[in-house]
Amino acid sequence: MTEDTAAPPAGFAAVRDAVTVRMPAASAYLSVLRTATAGLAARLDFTLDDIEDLRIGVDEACAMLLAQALPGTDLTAEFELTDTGMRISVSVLSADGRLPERDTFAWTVLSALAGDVDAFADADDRVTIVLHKHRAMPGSV
Amino acid sequence: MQKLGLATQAHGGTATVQVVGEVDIATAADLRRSVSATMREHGPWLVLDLTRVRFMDSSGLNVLIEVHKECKEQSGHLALAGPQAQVAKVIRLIGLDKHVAVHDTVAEAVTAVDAHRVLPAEAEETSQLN
Repeated sequence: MTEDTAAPPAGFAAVRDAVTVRMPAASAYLSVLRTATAGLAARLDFTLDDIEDLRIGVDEACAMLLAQALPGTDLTAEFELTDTGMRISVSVLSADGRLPERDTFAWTVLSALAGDVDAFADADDRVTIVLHKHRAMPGSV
Repeated sequence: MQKLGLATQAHGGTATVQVVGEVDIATAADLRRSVSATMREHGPWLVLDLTRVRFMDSSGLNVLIEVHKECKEQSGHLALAGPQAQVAKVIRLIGLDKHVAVHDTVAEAVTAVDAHRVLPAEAEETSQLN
Protein backbone atom coordinates (compact mmCIF):
# COMPACT_ATOMS: atom_id res chain seq x y z
CA MET A 1 0.00 0.00 0.00
CA THR A 2 1.34 3.44 -0.85
CA GLU A 3 0.24 6.71 0.67
CA ASP A 4 1.16 10.15 -0.68
CA THR A 5 0.24 13.23 1.24
CA ALA A 6 0.27 16.68 -0.31
CA ALA A 7 1.17 19.79 1.64
CA PRO A 8 -0.49 20.02 5.06
CA PRO A 9 -3.54 22.28 5.22
CA ALA A 10 -2.21 25.64 6.37
CA GLY A 11 -5.44 27.41 5.40
CA PHE A 12 -8.44 25.27 4.58
CA ALA A 13 -9.62 26.74 1.31
CA ALA A 14 -6.32 27.83 -0.19
CA VAL A 15 -4.30 24.61 -0.07
CA ARG A 16 -5.16 21.49 -2.03
CA ASP A 17 -5.19 18.68 0.49
CA ALA A 18 -5.14 15.32 -1.24
CA VAL A 19 -4.27 11.78 -0.23
CA THR A 20 -4.05 8.78 -2.53
CA VAL A 21 -4.24 5.23 -1.21
CA ARG A 22 -3.40 2.39 -3.56
CA MET A 23 -3.78 -1.24 -2.52
CA PRO A 24 -4.34 -4.64 -4.07
CA ALA A 25 -7.87 -5.05 -5.40
CA ALA A 26 -8.64 -7.71 -2.78
CA SER A 27 -11.37 -7.73 -0.15
CA ALA A 28 -8.94 -8.44 2.68
CA TYR A 29 -7.63 -4.86 2.40
CA LEU A 30 -11.03 -3.19 2.76
CA SER A 31 -10.77 -2.89 6.53
CA VAL A 32 -7.47 -1.00 6.09
CA LEU A 33 -9.14 1.45 3.73
CA ARG A 34 -12.05 1.96 6.14
CA THR A 35 -9.58 2.87 8.86
CA ALA A 36 -7.73 5.29 6.56
CA THR A 37 -11.05 6.89 5.57
CA ALA A 38 -12.06 7.44 9.20
CA GLY A 39 -8.65 8.90 10.01
CA LEU A 40 -8.74 11.36 7.13
CA ALA A 41 -12.33 12.39 7.78
CA ALA A 42 -11.55 13.01 11.45
CA ARG A 43 -8.79 15.35 10.36
CA LEU A 44 -11.29 17.42 8.38
CA ASP A 45 -13.64 18.14 11.28
CA PHE A 46 -16.40 15.82 10.13
CA THR A 47 -18.82 14.82 12.89
CA LEU A 48 -18.60 11.29 14.28
CA ASP A 49 -21.82 10.37 12.44
CA ASP A 50 -20.43 11.70 9.15
CA ILE A 51 -17.16 9.84 9.68
CA GLU A 52 -19.09 6.63 10.21
CA ASP A 53 -21.17 7.30 7.08
CA LEU A 54 -18.04 7.90 5.02
CA ARG A 55 -16.50 4.70 6.33
CA ILE A 56 -19.56 2.72 5.19
CA GLY A 57 -19.78 4.62 1.90
CA VAL A 58 -16.18 3.97 0.92
CA ASP A 59 -16.57 0.32 1.94
CA GLU A 60 -19.69 -0.15 -0.20
CA ALA A 61 -18.19 1.61 -3.20
CA CYS A 62 -15.01 -0.47 -3.03
CA ALA A 63 -16.88 -3.73 -2.46
CA MET A 64 -18.88 -3.08 -5.64
CA LEU A 65 -15.75 -2.32 -7.63
CA LEU A 66 -13.79 -5.28 -6.27
CA ALA A 67 -16.45 -7.59 -7.69
CA GLN A 68 -15.38 -6.59 -11.20
CA ALA A 69 -11.69 -5.71 -10.76
CA LEU A 70 -9.20 -7.53 -12.96
CA PRO A 71 -7.22 -10.07 -10.90
CA GLY A 72 -3.81 -8.85 -9.79
CA THR A 73 -4.61 -5.16 -10.28
CA ASP A 74 -4.88 -2.34 -7.72
CA LEU A 75 -7.72 -0.37 -6.26
CA THR A 76 -7.03 3.34 -6.00
CA ALA A 77 -8.76 5.68 -3.56
CA GLU A 78 -8.20 9.43 -3.89
CA PHE A 79 -9.31 11.65 -1.03
CA GLU A 80 -9.55 15.35 -1.72
CA LEU A 81 -10.61 18.18 0.52
CA THR A 82 -13.02 20.57 -1.17
CA ASP A 83 -14.49 23.87 0.01
CA THR A 84 -17.57 22.09 1.28
CA GLY A 85 -16.37 18.67 2.33
CA MET A 86 -14.46 15.69 1.00
CA ARG A 87 -14.49 14.10 -2.43
CA ILE A 88 -13.43 10.46 -2.63
CA SER A 89 -12.84 8.70 -5.95
CA VAL A 90 -12.33 4.96 -5.88
CA SER A 91 -11.46 3.11 -9.05
CA VAL A 92 -10.39 -0.25 -10.48
CA LEU A 93 -9.49 -1.64 -13.87
CA SER A 94 -12.29 -3.92 -15.03
CA ALA A 95 -12.72 -6.34 -17.90
CA ASP A 96 -15.70 -4.61 -19.50
CA GLY A 97 -16.17 -1.15 -17.97
CA ARG A 98 -19.58 -2.11 -16.65
CA LEU A 99 -21.08 0.38 -14.18
CA PRO A 100 -22.28 -0.86 -10.77
CA GLU A 101 -25.93 -1.86 -10.63
CA ARG A 102 -28.07 0.58 -8.70
CA ASP A 103 -30.91 -1.73 -7.64
CA THR A 104 -28.85 -3.34 -4.87
CA PHE A 105 -28.67 -2.89 -1.09
CA ALA A 106 -25.06 -1.84 -1.57
CA TRP A 107 -26.06 1.11 -3.77
CA THR A 108 -28.95 1.98 -1.43
CA VAL A 109 -26.58 2.19 1.53
CA LEU A 110 -23.94 4.05 -0.47
CA SER A 111 -26.26 6.68 -1.90
CA ALA A 112 -28.04 7.24 1.42
CA LEU A 113 -24.89 7.82 3.46
CA ALA A 114 -22.13 9.08 1.21
CA GLY A 115 -23.60 12.38 -0.01
CA ASP A 116 -23.49 12.92 -3.79
CA VAL A 117 -22.55 9.72 -5.59
CA ASP A 118 -21.73 9.12 -9.23
CA ALA A 119 -20.14 6.34 -11.27
CA PHE A 120 -18.45 6.39 -14.65
CA ALA A 121 -16.20 4.31 -16.87
CA ASP A 122 -13.19 5.46 -18.91
CA ALA A 123 -12.22 4.28 -22.38
CA ASP A 124 -9.67 1.89 -20.83
CA ASP A 125 -12.45 0.22 -18.76
CA ARG A 126 -11.36 1.85 -15.51
CA VAL A 127 -14.54 2.13 -13.44
CA THR A 128 -14.73 4.94 -10.90
CA ILE A 129 -17.21 5.75 -8.15
CA VAL A 130 -17.08 9.29 -6.78
CA LEU A 131 -18.48 10.19 -3.35
CA HIS A 132 -18.79 13.81 -2.30
CA LYS A 133 -19.66 14.16 1.37
CA HIS A 134 -20.48 17.67 2.52
CA ARG A 135 -19.33 18.86 5.88
CA ALA A 136 -21.83 20.55 8.18
CA MET A 137 -21.00 24.24 8.05
CA PRO A 138 -20.17 26.00 11.32
CA GLY A 139 -23.35 27.32 12.88
CA SER A 140 -25.60 25.06 10.81
CA VAL A 141 -25.53 22.40 13.57
CA MET B 1 -6.54 -10.72 7.13
CA GLN B 2 -9.19 -10.07 9.73
CA LYS B 3 -11.45 -12.89 10.79
CA LEU B 4 -14.80 -12.95 12.50
CA GLY B 5 -15.17 -14.43 15.95
CA LEU B 6 -18.12 -16.82 15.86
CA ALA B 7 -19.41 -18.78 18.84
CA THR B 8 -22.64 -20.78 19.14
CA GLN B 9 -24.55 -21.45 22.35
CA ALA B 10 -27.85 -23.29 22.67
CA HIS B 11 -30.38 -22.17 25.27
CA GLY B 12 -32.99 -24.91 25.28
CA GLY B 13 -34.07 -25.11 21.65
CA THR B 14 -32.95 -21.62 20.65
CA ALA B 15 -29.38 -21.23 19.45
CA THR B 16 -27.42 -17.99 19.81
CA VAL B 17 -24.55 -17.16 17.47
CA GLN B 18 -22.27 -14.49 18.86
CA VAL B 19 -20.52 -12.51 16.13
CA VAL B 20 -17.36 -10.55 16.96
CA GLY B 21 -15.58 -8.20 14.55
CA GLU B 22 -16.40 -6.54 11.23
CA VAL B 23 -18.82 -8.11 8.74
CA ASP B 24 -17.87 -7.06 5.22
CA ILE B 25 -17.29 -8.62 1.80
CA ALA B 26 -14.22 -10.42 3.19
CA THR B 27 -15.96 -12.01 6.18
CA ALA B 28 -19.67 -12.34 5.26
CA ALA B 29 -19.21 -15.87 3.90
CA ASP B 30 -17.76 -16.99 7.26
CA LEU B 31 -20.90 -15.72 9.00
CA ARG B 32 -23.13 -17.50 6.47
CA ARG B 33 -21.29 -20.81 6.91
CA SER B 34 -21.35 -20.59 10.70
CA VAL B 35 -25.07 -19.84 10.80
CA SER B 36 -25.85 -22.67 8.36
CA ALA B 37 -23.90 -25.11 10.52
CA THR B 38 -25.74 -23.88 13.62
CA MET B 39 -29.12 -24.32 11.93
CA ARG B 40 -28.23 -27.84 10.83
CA GLU B 41 -27.28 -28.75 14.38
CA HIS B 42 -29.86 -26.84 16.42
CA GLY B 43 -32.73 -26.07 14.04
CA PRO B 44 -34.13 -22.80 12.66
CA TRP B 45 -34.71 -20.96 15.97
CA LEU B 46 -31.91 -18.53 16.04
CA VAL B 47 -30.59 -15.39 17.75
CA LEU B 48 -27.71 -13.46 16.20
CA ASP B 49 -25.85 -11.59 18.93
CA LEU B 50 -24.50 -8.47 17.21
CA THR B 51 -23.35 -6.74 20.41
CA ARG B 52 -19.71 -6.97 19.43
CA VAL B 53 -20.03 -6.32 15.69
CA ARG B 54 -18.11 -3.09 15.12
CA PHE B 55 -19.02 -2.76 11.44
CA MET B 56 -21.51 -4.23 8.98
CA ASP B 57 -22.07 -3.41 5.31
CA SER B 58 -24.53 -4.69 2.71
CA SER B 59 -22.66 -8.01 2.41
CA GLY B 60 -23.58 -8.64 6.05
CA LEU B 61 -27.13 -7.40 5.53
CA ASN B 62 -27.54 -9.82 2.62
CA VAL B 63 -26.51 -12.67 4.92
CA LEU B 64 -29.05 -11.58 7.55
CA ILE B 65 -31.79 -11.54 4.88
CA GLU B 66 -30.84 -15.00 3.60
CA VAL B 67 -30.82 -16.40 7.13
CA HIS B 68 -34.18 -14.79 7.88
CA LYS B 69 -35.69 -16.36 4.75
CA GLU B 70 -34.18 -19.75 5.55
CA CYS B 71 -35.53 -19.67 9.11
CA LYS B 72 -39.00 -18.79 7.81
CA GLU B 73 -38.91 -21.53 5.18
CA GLN B 74 -38.15 -24.03 7.93
CA SER B 75 -40.96 -22.63 10.10
CA GLY B 76 -38.40 -21.23 12.52
CA HIS B 77 -37.61 -17.71 13.66
CA LEU B 78 -34.67 -15.31 13.62
CA ALA B 79 -34.10 -12.40 16.01
CA LEU B 80 -31.22 -9.94 16.17
CA ALA B 81 -29.75 -8.70 19.44
CA GLY B 82 -27.83 -5.64 20.55
CA PRO B 83 -26.62 -4.00 17.33
CA GLN B 84 -24.30 -1.03 17.83
CA ALA B 85 -25.30 2.33 16.34
CA GLN B 86 -23.66 1.83 12.91
CA VAL B 87 -25.11 -1.64 12.48
CA ALA B 88 -28.57 -0.55 13.66
CA LYS B 89 -28.41 2.32 11.17
CA VAL B 90 -27.82 0.16 8.08
CA ILE B 91 -30.41 -2.37 9.28
CA ARG B 92 -32.99 0.45 9.43
CA LEU B 93 -31.75 1.97 6.18
CA ILE B 94 -32.71 -1.05 4.09
CA GLY B 95 -35.85 -1.71 6.17
CA LEU B 96 -34.67 -5.06 7.53
CA ASP B 97 -36.04 -4.13 10.97
CA LYS B 98 -39.55 -4.34 9.49
CA HIS B 99 -39.02 -8.03 8.78
CA VAL B 100 -36.69 -9.19 11.54
CA ALA B 101 -37.16 -8.23 15.20
CA VAL B 102 -34.22 -6.30 16.66
CA HIS B 103 -33.89 -6.56 20.46
CA ASP B 104 -31.69 -4.61 22.84
CA THR B 105 -30.34 -7.67 24.62
CA VAL B 106 -29.64 -11.31 23.87
CA ALA B 107 -31.92 -12.38 26.73
CA GLU B 108 -34.88 -10.51 25.21
CA ALA B 109 -34.16 -11.94 21.77
CA VAL B 110 -33.95 -15.50 23.11
CA THR B 111 -37.25 -15.04 24.96
CA ALA B 112 -38.88 -13.80 21.76
CA VAL B 113 -37.61 -16.72 19.67
CA ASP B 114 -38.57 -19.18 22.41
CA ALA B 115 -42.11 -17.80 22.27
CA HIS B 116 -42.25 -18.43 18.52
CA ARG B 117 -40.99 -21.96 19.01
CA VAL B 118 -43.65 -22.77 21.59
CA LEU B 119 -46.60 -21.15 19.82
CA PRO B 120 -46.90 -23.47 16.79
CA ALA B 121 -46.96 -26.51 19.12
CA GLU B 122 -49.70 -24.92 21.21
CA ALA B 123 -51.63 -24.10 18.06
CA GLU B 124 -51.40 -27.74 17.02
CA GLU B 125 -52.66 -28.89 20.42
CA THR B 126 -55.58 -26.53 20.15
CA SER B 127 -56.49 -27.79 16.70
CA GLN B 128 -56.33 -31.38 17.96
CA LEU B 129 -58.71 -30.50 20.77
CA ASN B 130 -61.21 -29.04 18.35
